[in-house]
Amino acid sequence: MGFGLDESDDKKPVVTSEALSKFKPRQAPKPVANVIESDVAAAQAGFISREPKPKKAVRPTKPKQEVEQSFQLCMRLPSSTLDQFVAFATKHKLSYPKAMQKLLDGFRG
Amino acid sequence: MPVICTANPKGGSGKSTSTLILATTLAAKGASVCIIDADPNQNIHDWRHNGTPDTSVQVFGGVKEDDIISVIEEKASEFQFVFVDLEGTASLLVSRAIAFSDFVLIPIQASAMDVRQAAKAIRAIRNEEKVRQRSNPEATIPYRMLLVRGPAAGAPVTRSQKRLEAEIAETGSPLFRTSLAQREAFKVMFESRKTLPELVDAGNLEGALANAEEVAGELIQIIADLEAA
Repeated sequence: MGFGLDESDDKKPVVTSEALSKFKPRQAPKPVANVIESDVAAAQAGFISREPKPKKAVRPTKPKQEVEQSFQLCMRLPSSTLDQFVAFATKHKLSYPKAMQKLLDGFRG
Repeated sequence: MPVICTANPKGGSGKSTSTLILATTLAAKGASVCIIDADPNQNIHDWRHNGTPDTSVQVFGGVKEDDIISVIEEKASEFQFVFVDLEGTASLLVSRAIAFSDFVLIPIQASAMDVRQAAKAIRAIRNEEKVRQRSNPEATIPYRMLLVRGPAAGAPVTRSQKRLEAEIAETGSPLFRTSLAQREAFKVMFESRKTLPELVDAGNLEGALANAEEVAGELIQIIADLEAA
């Protein structure tokens, strides 16, 4: 037979009770290598985790704020009024729509 | 003691068959034996828990990467022999089992694919050995390749097998002197979920039993020699 089995070797291995009785359960845990180092060494030989990873918790997203419908406003203004409005918006660091809203709020209040 | 794992990243190389044959043979001779079935296919777990085999072998399944080490440690303190049947992939579960075993059995069929994949297992063993040696320069992880599904005793050996034998001999990789032959009884064990002695109408049963005992005998001898060394 192949793989080193010499046909002329008639002394076949057998399992005896005596041989088995020499083996005992471990009395103390085996001193072992660091698992992290061991995993790194394994990865070098292509042995990597194949188990599915637990899914990451998904952060709940903020509900979208409803946006009010908007329209284009196009009008002619005296130059001084336009300059005044632009100066107001610039001073308060507001966009033109927000500047107009602020002016309206002030008028109402 | 000892913990024996069967590893070969190639699927279908005979890991579960070798594990079951060796474990049941040792148990039949009076040893306390358990098998940790770490193969996702759970073939041995199915054999034990969905059948009624007449054996004292206990089988524990469903282990994962995270608990394989603690399960091995726990069972090694309870049983004389702990076999770990591993999945046919190069995974972290396999490498961790190798790292925490006393002996690695690498079943191979007489095919170039099996031998190439066995070489991968050997690389992993050597890498793990280097890690062990950082804390203990004398530490080793002994291993042997075992030919499975080979010709029965007296049957002619194929040319491809002879070529592979020569290739393996060149690499200096250690081999079992005995081998597990291709036998009907070894297949029927899984199908019928029984032990070898319980089988009927399963080919040359006497030959299968003798073959199983030969390989188990050599395994015991190898481990006894390693312990003595």
